[in-house]
Amino acid sequence: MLPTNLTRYALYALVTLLALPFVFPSAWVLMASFSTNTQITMDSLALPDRLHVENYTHAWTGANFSAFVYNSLAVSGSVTVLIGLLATMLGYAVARLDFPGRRLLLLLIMMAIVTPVFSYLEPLTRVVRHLGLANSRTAVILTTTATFLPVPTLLMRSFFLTLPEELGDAGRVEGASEFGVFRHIMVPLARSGVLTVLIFAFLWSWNDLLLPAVFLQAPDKYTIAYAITTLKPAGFRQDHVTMFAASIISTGPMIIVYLLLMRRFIAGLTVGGLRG
Amino acid sequence: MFALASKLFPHPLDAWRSASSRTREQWLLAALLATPAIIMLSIFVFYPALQTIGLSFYKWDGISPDMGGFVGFKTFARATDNYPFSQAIKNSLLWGVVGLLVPTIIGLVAAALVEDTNLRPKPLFRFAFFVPYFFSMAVAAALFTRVYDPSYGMINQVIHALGFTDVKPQWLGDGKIAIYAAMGVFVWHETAFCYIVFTAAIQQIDRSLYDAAKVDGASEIQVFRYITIPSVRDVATFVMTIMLIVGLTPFAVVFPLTTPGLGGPYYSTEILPTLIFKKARMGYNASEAAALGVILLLLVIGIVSAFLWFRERTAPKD
Repeated sequence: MLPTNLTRYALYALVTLLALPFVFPSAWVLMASFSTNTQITMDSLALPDRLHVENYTHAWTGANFSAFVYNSLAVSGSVTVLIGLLATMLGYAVARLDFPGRRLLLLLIMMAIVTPVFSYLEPLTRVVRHLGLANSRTAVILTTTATFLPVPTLLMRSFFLTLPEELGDAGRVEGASEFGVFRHIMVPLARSGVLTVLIFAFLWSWNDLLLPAVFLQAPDKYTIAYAITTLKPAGFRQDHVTMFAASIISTGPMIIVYLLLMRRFIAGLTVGGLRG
Repeated sequence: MFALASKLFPHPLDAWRSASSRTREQWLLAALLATPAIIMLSIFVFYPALQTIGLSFYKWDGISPDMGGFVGFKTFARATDNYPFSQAIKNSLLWGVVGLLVPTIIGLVAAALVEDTNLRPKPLFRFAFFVPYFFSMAVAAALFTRVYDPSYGMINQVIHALGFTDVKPQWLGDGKIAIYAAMGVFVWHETAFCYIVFTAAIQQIDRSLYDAAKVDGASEIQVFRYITIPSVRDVATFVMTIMLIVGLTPFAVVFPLTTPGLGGPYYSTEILPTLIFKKARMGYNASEAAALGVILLLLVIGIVSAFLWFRERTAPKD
């Protein structure tokens, strides 16, 4: 449809122009993370005189970001596993099992989606205190899992709905129990849906700021997002390069997820996860 | 009368007795699979959400052992009759509209431009549009305090390098533009999410539709209008619902972006979640936090339901 080279170049120019605002700030942060504070305050667009890798070692050990990365991985990893399990189980129940109260349960899940966690923040902190979980990573893991669970559950439900029921019936004829149908026929077929849900859970819990901000008081338990936004050790507000280096470090797990899994994530999203 | 009632609401035990063994097995499995999730949701979502509604009618600071007296709607009146609240409502509504439209439209157009044309190399362009999502929203906001810095910040340095040496907007310090600067970070970050989901949806469209349109002599814009947009309609509804909910509660942007952490100059970036956070965590005013929570809850439920109803009503009938 685009016969001439001219329109082709115009298209490249258009897409590049559109991408520029998204790429440029990230590139600026990456460049500045190898610079010095003096250089940044003088001319922040200039290339650094050499690669100041010590910014990264300082962020990692001096500013304790190795601990924050560990905390974030522990929290997001646990949330991802829990949501993967619970969303698969609940999603299958409301999609494929016939039991009284199924519609009510579905309605409750919908209600939970549109109930922002901010609206019940104060009572939630009291629940956590009563459970003896104040100032703990466990509190963040459990509350994050519960508040993020509804959307992945609906994704898994619509995913299970796309699988042909005949497969389950074939299993039943062969003598499989209902649990056997779920565990050995349906779950393996829903693998790409489960992967989609796992990636969503990881992205969202890695992104979250509110629940760590509410439930973590001791700085050694902070997640990396919360640490970057609120920690102000001596001079941290002026120490731009350490903050930039820490931010780049924080992208590591996300980039790994993108490179390893994004292709399958996209496949999983479209095999039925988002329809109906 | 009684017969009708028992028909409408069959006793669970009757149903259990008359069910086949296969049905019973399904019930047991449903109980097994659903119970852990229901327990989690009950403890950490439904119970505190119901408590919020109750709490909003009392006067209580959140620390005293005794809950204060029942005061009806007085807490609501006190929580809403002030300048920060009206700012928060105004900003939240504006942010809802921006969140609903801007990241979704840019994301869809970018995805269509990359996927539906013969741009090479595609993975590079996909990577470019997804880059902001590598940073979490809060980290992006923290970084943008530097990007927006009036003296050394990236944007003003670029303006300077382009030759406008005396233009130095105080992006976050000027009460008139701080809210738009904050929304800019939101759009920057969330467009990547919309982009990647729309990319997935567009890749799934049947290629023969495009070929047929080309044979009929349709232009690129007509293809986008009459094939791409209708094909991604369901995905668009999903993405826009998420953007609406996130856009009405963009705490992770405002909290790190504004000093001293909780609002720009003269409440210019105040949103309901920051007000609630302040009252619940710092102001020791549990009742007012709960009242604001109820308002936020009604706002989100109302707007999201209206949006979904609208999408349902305007859906093409085929």
